[in-house]
Amino acid sequence: MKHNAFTLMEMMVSIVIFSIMVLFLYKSYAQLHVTNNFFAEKSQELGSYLKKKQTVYLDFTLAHYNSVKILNQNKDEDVVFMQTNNSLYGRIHPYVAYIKKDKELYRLESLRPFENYPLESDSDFFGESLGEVKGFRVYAQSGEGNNAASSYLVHIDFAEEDALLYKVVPLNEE
Amino acid sequence: MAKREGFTLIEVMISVLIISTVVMALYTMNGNSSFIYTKSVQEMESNGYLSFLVANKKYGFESDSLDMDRLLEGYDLEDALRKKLKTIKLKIAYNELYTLDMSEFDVKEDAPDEYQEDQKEKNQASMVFEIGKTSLLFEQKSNASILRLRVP
Repeated sequence: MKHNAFTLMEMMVSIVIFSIMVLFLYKSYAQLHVTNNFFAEKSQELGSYLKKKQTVYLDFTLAHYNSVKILNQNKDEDVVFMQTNNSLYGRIHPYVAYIKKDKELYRLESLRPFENYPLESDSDFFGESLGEVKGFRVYAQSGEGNNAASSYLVHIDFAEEDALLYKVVPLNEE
Repeated sequence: MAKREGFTLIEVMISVLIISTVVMALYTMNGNSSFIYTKSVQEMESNGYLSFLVANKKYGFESDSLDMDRLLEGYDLEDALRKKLKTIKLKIAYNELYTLDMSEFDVKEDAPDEYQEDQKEKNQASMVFEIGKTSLLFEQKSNASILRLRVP
């Protein structure tokens, strides 16, 4: 009687070939999984970076006319006080301060004006950390014919992210 | 001699095609994620540099080749930052897209005096608005563009 089945050798060869292919596919899939996780993490970091950028941008763009005070501390550090229309906590015309403390940059928001640095002990504010920074500087460009700055260049040198360097033009006029 | 029954050419080709398709799909997915991420980072960096042209009357309306620090001439920058910006070589390409000649809307000479007076007050006569696209190309790796309106 004629047998039309595969021989043991044929079966073994096909299983070996199949195993090699599955191995490569699995390696490829595992690599994809690792890179996807990496990019998911990176996208999350990018989202957080964009949120910080948006906050800084809106603070300066919507700052009240001539309300931005830049107090230079040293070549890597400024303290900035302002009144703006942008609030992270739903407040109307809050006072905002950017302060670098213990290598972290903080954004403080209050209903009372910030006058001096170091802040007074009875200061009342909500604070948010923008992350670890190596430097925080804000440069003002003088306007024509008046004392108010026509634009600001914000430079935040983050410790673990790309530095933020952005020119912002305030929209509020006298 | 026993009859040998191997795979036909078509069978081999189809199986190779199926496996190649699966492997290609996996690699494409990987490539897409990396491309999107790299592009996003580049775009964010470009947008930062592009902001230097906002409210900048001196640069951006003519094609030019310069160092990045020239775009920030009005600021008293720290030396380290200025040096860093000086190393970034930049090309500005300006293309005029549309010109709007307001003289088409000028009040005709035979129009009543009050209209002519009104036009003089608003100083609208023969104004030409120009809409253009300014592109920044830096370090031969990325570029970004903004639309600008030139008001005379």
